[in-house]
Order: sequence, then structure tokens, then C-alpha cells
Amino acid sequence: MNAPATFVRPSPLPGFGPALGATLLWLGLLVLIPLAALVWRASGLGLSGILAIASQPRVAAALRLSFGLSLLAAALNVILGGIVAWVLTRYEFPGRRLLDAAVDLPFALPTAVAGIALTAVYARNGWIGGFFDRFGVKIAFTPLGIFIALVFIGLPFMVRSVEPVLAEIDPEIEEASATLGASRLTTIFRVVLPPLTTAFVTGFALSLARAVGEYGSVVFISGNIPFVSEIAPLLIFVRLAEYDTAGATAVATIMLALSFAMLLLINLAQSWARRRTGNG
Amino acid sequence: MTMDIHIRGVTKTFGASPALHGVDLDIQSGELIGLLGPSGSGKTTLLRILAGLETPTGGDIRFGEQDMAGQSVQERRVGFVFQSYALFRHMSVAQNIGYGLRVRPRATRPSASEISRRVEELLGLVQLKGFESRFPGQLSGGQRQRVALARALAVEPRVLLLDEPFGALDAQVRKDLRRWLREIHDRTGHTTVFVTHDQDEALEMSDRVAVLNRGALEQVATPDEIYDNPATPFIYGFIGDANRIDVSLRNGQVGLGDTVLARAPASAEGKAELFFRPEHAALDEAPGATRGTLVALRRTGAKRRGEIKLDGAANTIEIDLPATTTLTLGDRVGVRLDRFSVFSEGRRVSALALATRAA
Repeated sequence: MNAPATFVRPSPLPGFGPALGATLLWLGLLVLIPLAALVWRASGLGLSGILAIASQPRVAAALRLSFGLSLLAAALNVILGGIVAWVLTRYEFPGRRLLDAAVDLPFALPTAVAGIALTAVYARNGWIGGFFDRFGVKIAFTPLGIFIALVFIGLPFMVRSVEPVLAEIDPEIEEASATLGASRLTTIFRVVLPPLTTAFVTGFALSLARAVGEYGSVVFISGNIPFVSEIAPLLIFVRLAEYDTAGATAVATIMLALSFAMLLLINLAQSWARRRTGNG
Repeated sequence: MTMDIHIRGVTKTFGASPALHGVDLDIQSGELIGLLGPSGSGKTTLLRILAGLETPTGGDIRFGEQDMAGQSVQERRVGFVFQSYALFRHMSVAQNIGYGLRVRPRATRPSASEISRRVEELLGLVQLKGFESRFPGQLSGGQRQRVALARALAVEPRVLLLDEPFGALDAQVRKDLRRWLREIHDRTGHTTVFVTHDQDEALEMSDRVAVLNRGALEQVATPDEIYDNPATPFIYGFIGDANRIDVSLRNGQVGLGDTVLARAPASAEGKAELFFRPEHAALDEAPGATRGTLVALRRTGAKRRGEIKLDGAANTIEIDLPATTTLTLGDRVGVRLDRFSVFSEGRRVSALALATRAA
């Protein structure tokens, strides 16, 4: 038990030093230094300054809108993405591969293209927007429109997180559950879904993170009306355009802090779920 | 509680290809029966039809007096054990075993204490006491299969169905579990049907063996019957070692060249195939024995295998010889067949058993 305490456990794999060096260098150049600069800039305002900007009605409204809709969108994606993943892994049907490829479109599409396409369809004179307009429901240029855009860009994250785990679950466990007398619904809730918990949490986190930062696909459909449909990333842009660097920095710092806190929470939830499912 | 099973004319067609054609089988209450066949013979399909996991294209299944048509998997109350164990990985051993009791509707669900008492009892039966809080990922293959069996037994099944239960296990574990499963069966007395492609497993464990080939039953009989008196050429080839020689049927006799091997019904004429096992033949210098030449000699465990080219036969045959044999290659020998079958167009034409040799 008295082995000399070393920083790195000996490993037969060579090249630990250079590999870690490169990792830290990239991480530093691409992530840590820019974020540190942001925090450093914001620190000039002081905590009270940041809080003052955060409590400005327009900023508060934008933050509430961004985080609230992102949470809602990620939550809806848990259900939608779960169903899509289920269909793709469990059924064999013509066009399955095509559908499988289509799931990735929101990943691959330039976000501006997605934004314009969504706006065209959901605007009052679009196919779907026109239909809902008859019932007096406006989609484009309202928070509902933003919500749809956020669901759209978050969906592939959910599907791709759940799909591989679902594919690995042996369909025989469903048959086993049935032979033991469990109904279809009981089987789904007691046997199929529990092992997917961590995958769902991962998908939720990715989908949420993407939605909070999403800009391109939202700005077209949102209409960007302050207090109504102005998202926080856009507000940063607006502040910069007004040469209000301090205001932009403050909003950015608040978003950073909130995002970080949410991801931390999700990670905690995930390790809890992993312990519970005994896959630790 | 446990049931007899009656299978009548069960057929199953997947798309255009038939998997089962017209299977009739009666399984007695408390019997342990092995469904043996090569892959693609339809044995697993038949088992899944019994469980209600597949719907037969035609035919009837009855458990006791009760017709199973229209009865869902859940209603059938069968215990099913999968080759892949199919354990719930997110549940502990105890939760797995108790699952079938916990998911019952409230009215018939035992109390929590009753469930844990039952789980405890089953853990004892499958010799896994002390493992209740482990997860399946922390168990060996053999232990997992024992959990799967306990889980199936927990619901007090009317019939126990096992699909290649030991197929994924090491040879030694498989041997131990075979013996152990037979013991459990003798203790609990469930009507048990298990599927296997392993002839040793089927012969060692079963009360009766049902041999399936290409979706049809070839023979249903005790292991002794199956091994000693195979009903079809297929079983000779599939179970144990067998020799095959081309013979001719003439004037009520089975002949190989000029030698008469056995009597046959006078109506049978023409070409036929004769099958016998290496251990059902012996060297015999008596006149009238079939003569041949020893062409190869191999050591097989406790015995030697002699390869003999019989006069007038197109191919060689193998017979068991004592390890101490002094024969050398090229020696002329006489061979006596103690037990064999003669088939013409797949039908057995000659009554064969012990000591019915032609003089």
C-alpha cells in the first residue's frame, strides 16, 4: 500500500505527455481562454453591475424566454425523440433508412436555411401557419414559433442519444416481460424505459444546450419583438450593435453561468440514474 | 397446477417458407421433453407457438382441456427461459425474480412480504442465496441462466418452456446445469419442454425426445429408443455416429453383393440403404458373415475405430474395436451386424433389432 504516489498511473500506452499537452492546448485556445476573457471583461462590471443588467426588464424577459422555451423544447424532444428512436430501431419498413438519414438534417442544415424554411411554412401565408391561422393561432413571430424552431434543432440530439442504447436492448426482454404476465404498457414503463434513463438525460442535456445557444434558425421565425419574442443570444447581438459592450458581456456571462449550472445539474442527475440502474 | 399439452396439426408459414407442417405431439403432465433438431428445423418456432409468442398458421394447442387459440402470452401463464437469459439489467436479482409477481393486477398481487418470501425460496432452489442484491451484469452466464429460471418459476407457470437454455454457456457449466435442471424438474414437477440442437443434452435430460427436421417430427421416443432404433435415416445421421451402405432388396432378402444380410418383406424390391452404429457391429469369423478388408485404424478414447471396406460395398464403414486389437491394416475380417435398419425411399422396410440376422 506504500506505492510511491505519482501524478500519472503507469500505462503501457506511450505518449501520455504529448497527448495531454495537445488536449490542454486546444481546450485552452478554443474554450478556456475565450471564456476566461469573457468573465474577465464582465468582472469589470462587478457582481452588482451584472445583476443590475440582468434585472433590466428587457434582459430578464429575453433570458426567461430563452431558458424557458429551451427547457420546454428539450422536454418535448424527450417524447418525440424517444418515439422516433423507437420506430427507427424496432421496426423494419420501406424508407426506414431514408427517414434515419432525415433525422440528421437539422444537424447538417445551415441554421439560417432552417430558419427561413420554418418561417415560410409556419408564417400566416405558409401551409401550416395558414391552417392554424384559421383558428386564430399565430405561430411565426410568436414564442410558439421559437419553440418549434428549438424543437426542430434539438430533435436529432435526442434521437442519436437514445437510438444506440435502444438498439442494444434485447427485444427478448420485452417477450420475457410478457411471458411473466406484464401488459404492454407495464413492459414499456418497467422494462424498456428504465435502462434508457441516462440516454434520455444525455439527449435532454444536449438538446437543451443547443437550444439555449441557437440563433440562426430562431431569428427569422421569432420576429424579435422585445419583451415578447426576443431571445437572449439575439439581445447580445443587439447590445453589441449598439456599442454597449458591457451590456453584451453581462448578458453573455449570465447565460454562461446559467448554462453551466444546468449542465452540472444534469450531470449529477445522470450519475444518480446510472447508480440506480446498476450500470456504474 | 402443471398441465399436459396437446399439439394437433400445428403449421406455421413465414411469408412463403413453411417453418412447421402439421406437427402432432402430446406431452404428458410433469414430463420433461426435449425438442431436438438442426437449426432451421422449426423447434424454436414450435416452442414460441406454445408460449404464444408466435401465432400458428393452422392447428390447435391445448393445455389440459383449455384451447389456447386467442389466449395472449400473458394469459397463458408459461415460464419461458431464453438462450440470451433476457434478464432485466436495471433490476437486481431479487427484483428480476419477483417481477412476474409485482406486475400482477392489484387484486391478485401477493403482498410485498409474500413476494420477498417467494423470492427467497426460489433463490434457495437455484442456489443463489446471497446474490439477491447483485445486478445481472455482475453474474456469470450460468448464474444468469439460473436467475432466469427462478424468474420463470416465480409465476407458478403451468408449463415451463426453455429455448436452448444452455446454448451460450461453456461446456463444463453446461454439463453441470443439465444435471441441475433435471434435479429441479424432478423436484418441482413442471411439464417442461426444452429446445436444443445438442444431442447429448437431449438424450441425457429428457424423458422423451422429439426430433424435428425441416418442420416435421421425425420421431418422438425415449432416449434409448431414439438412439438404438432410429425411425428415419435422418436420425441415424443426426444423432450419434452411423454407417450407411447401399444394399439391394430381392426376394424378401436384404443383400450386399452376394451376401444376404437380413430378411425383408417380399413386397420390397430394388435399392435400399442400410444404417448401423459403429458399436452395433462386431468382428465375427463365422461362415456367412460379411467379409471385408481393414483399411484404417484410429484411437477414439477407450476404444479403437476400425474402418473396413466391405466386399461389394461402395464406401467404407466404421466399427468399434477393443483398444487391444491385434489387427493390422490390410487384414481380412468378417463383420457381424447386431442391430441395423434398412430404409427404402425413406421408409423402414426391414425389422432389424438384435439377433434377427439372416442365417
